[in-house]
Amino acid sequence: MRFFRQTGSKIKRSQLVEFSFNGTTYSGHLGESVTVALAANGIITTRITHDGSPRGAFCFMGSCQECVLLIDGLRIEACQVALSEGLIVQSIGCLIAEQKAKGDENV
Amino acid sequence: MSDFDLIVIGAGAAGSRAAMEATKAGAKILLLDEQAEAGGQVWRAKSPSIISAPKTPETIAGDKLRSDLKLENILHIVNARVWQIEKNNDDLWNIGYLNNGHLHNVTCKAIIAATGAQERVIPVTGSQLPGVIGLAAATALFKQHLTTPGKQTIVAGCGPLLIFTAYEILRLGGKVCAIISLNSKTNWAKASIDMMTRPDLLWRGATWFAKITAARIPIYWQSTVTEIIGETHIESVNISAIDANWSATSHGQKNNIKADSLCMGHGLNPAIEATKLADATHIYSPELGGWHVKTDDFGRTDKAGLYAAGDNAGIYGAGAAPYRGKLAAIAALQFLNIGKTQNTDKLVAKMKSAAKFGLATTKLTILRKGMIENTQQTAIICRCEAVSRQQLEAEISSGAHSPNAIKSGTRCGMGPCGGRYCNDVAALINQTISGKTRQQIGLTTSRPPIRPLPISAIAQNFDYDDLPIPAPAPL
Ligand SMILES: Cc1cc2nc3c(=O)[nH]c(=O)nc-3n(C[C@H](O)[C@@H](O)[C@H](O)COP(=O)(O)OP(=O)(O)OC[C@H]3O[C@@H](n4cnc5c(N)ncnc54)[C@H](O)[C@@H]3O)c2cc1C
Ligand code: FES
Repeated sequence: MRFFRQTGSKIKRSQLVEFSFNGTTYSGHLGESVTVALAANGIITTRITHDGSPRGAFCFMGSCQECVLLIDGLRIEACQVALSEGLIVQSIGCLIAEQKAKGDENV
Repeated sequence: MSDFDLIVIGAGAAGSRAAMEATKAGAKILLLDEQAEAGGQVWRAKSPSIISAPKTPETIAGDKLRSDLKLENILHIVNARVWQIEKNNDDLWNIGYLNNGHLHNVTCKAIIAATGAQERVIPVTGSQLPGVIGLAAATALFKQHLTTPGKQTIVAGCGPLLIFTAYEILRLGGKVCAIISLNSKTNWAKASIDMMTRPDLLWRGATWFAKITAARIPIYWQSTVTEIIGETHIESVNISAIDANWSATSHGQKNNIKADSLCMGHGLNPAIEATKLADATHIYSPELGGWHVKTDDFGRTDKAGLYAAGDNAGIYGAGAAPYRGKLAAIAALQFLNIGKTQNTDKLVAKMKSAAKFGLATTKLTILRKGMIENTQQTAIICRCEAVSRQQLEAEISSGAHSPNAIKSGTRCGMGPCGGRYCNDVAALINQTISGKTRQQIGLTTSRPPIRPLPISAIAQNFDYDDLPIPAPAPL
């Protein structure tokens, strides 16, 4: 499942740029929110709760905090960040797994 | 000396109008908003990724508002999240905001809080699954990105945003599998009589219905979503007919509908974090969306120098919001002794007339008693902390009847969203067990920050060598 950027004849979008999510490269339109860029690529799960349940963007206005990701090192709501070339996006869970793999006991 | 005469929080329909009025009168003002552009919810701007797209009434009104703000040369800081409001020792208001990762403090003599509303979604089992989004949230997604949340979308809930959302999906070229409406056809017929005050908007609503009918979208009137099925994301939705109290009756007709996305919402709650933090009095009235800051027609709260305009002072809707902004500015200017007094009778009358339409739409979203019965024990109430109804009920039954006690006992409302999506639902559940009224239950205590702050912003850049460590005491 994924989001669909609608393409009616009169809708013109900006150029595509590349960004990475948890190490994989994807593309999205320059200036769209990171949430939309991810969801249009089929990534609708933005976090996993402490009890293991998946969550996705819910409010699209920066309030619910379900879409918080690590974007260029900053923990921020992905729905409020405009996509730019080379953005490095990571899920918080992925970051924790990475640090654990490196042997960091404090995470 | 204060930095500004007036600070307006929120650059939506109400706040932008207030800022323009005050600037024209000669006040030194600052307009703060956490979004990237002015317009608020109803006139939300398109993202920079949309180079061109067909115009809608919302984009036209929004573009006008944004260009008016520029023409008036208003000092408007975007991406500015107000997290702190307090009175300082000089009796001035001190406002703290976060902007691009940095904290700023500014002072002013008066504040207009025009923080709008937020969505209310009454959860059921599975409503936390990815692919389930709010109804108002969906309108934000459409306006900003012209993007739909899936290939097969179900639209569920009540009020005008239900029909608007379904219409927008069709307009954009997406597919709506079904509309699940709590309201009956009769509810809509009655509401349209009250909506006669705005024949233009009523006509617009009729065209939405016409498009939905022409596309042969099944509408399940007087029905509700009872469960959302799926492992990693939504796969299908169980629905049921409801009784007059909006409870899914056991004998009511049931159905299961497949879908990859669901937009679900049950009206709006006034966004009261700012006025609560400023310690103004709030009142509960279901016909105005629940808890809202108490004001007179001019947006005067019971705190000197604190005004409120727009949906945070009751869901009177987008039509009334600019008038309410203007009236609040007039009251604030009077307090500041700026400009001359003007006759406001006409303006008040216009605001009240515009509010009639908004009140009629809000009325369609007043939750009936049985609605909360549709929320199962396994439903997640607090999304941030993953607290279920069962956990909440156990806590309330053990004697935790105040919102603060429930919060500290279960962590419900303690997460980063600040309880904005669960406090209202927790209180509804509390009512069913404690038997108290919403007024008796009250609100949680408000503490800064009212928006999540990154640790880096609080700590700023420092070197350990710079830390002021006092010299050790002599031995
Ligand atoms: C998601 C959503 C979608 C909606 N869509 C529609 C619609 O399509 N049509 C319609 O008629 N009504 C809609 N509404 C109802 C809406 O409340 C309108 O009636 C109208 O936008 C109200 O105008 P306002 O100025 O009171 O608030 P808003 O337009 O909501 O403006 C409030 C502004 O305050 C800002 N703000 C809030 N808190 C802070 C803070 N702490 N720091 C900085 N800035 C802050 C927000 O970013 C926002 O821009 C929607 C509501 C929501 C929540
Ligand atoms: S979707 Fe709610 S904060 Fe981004």
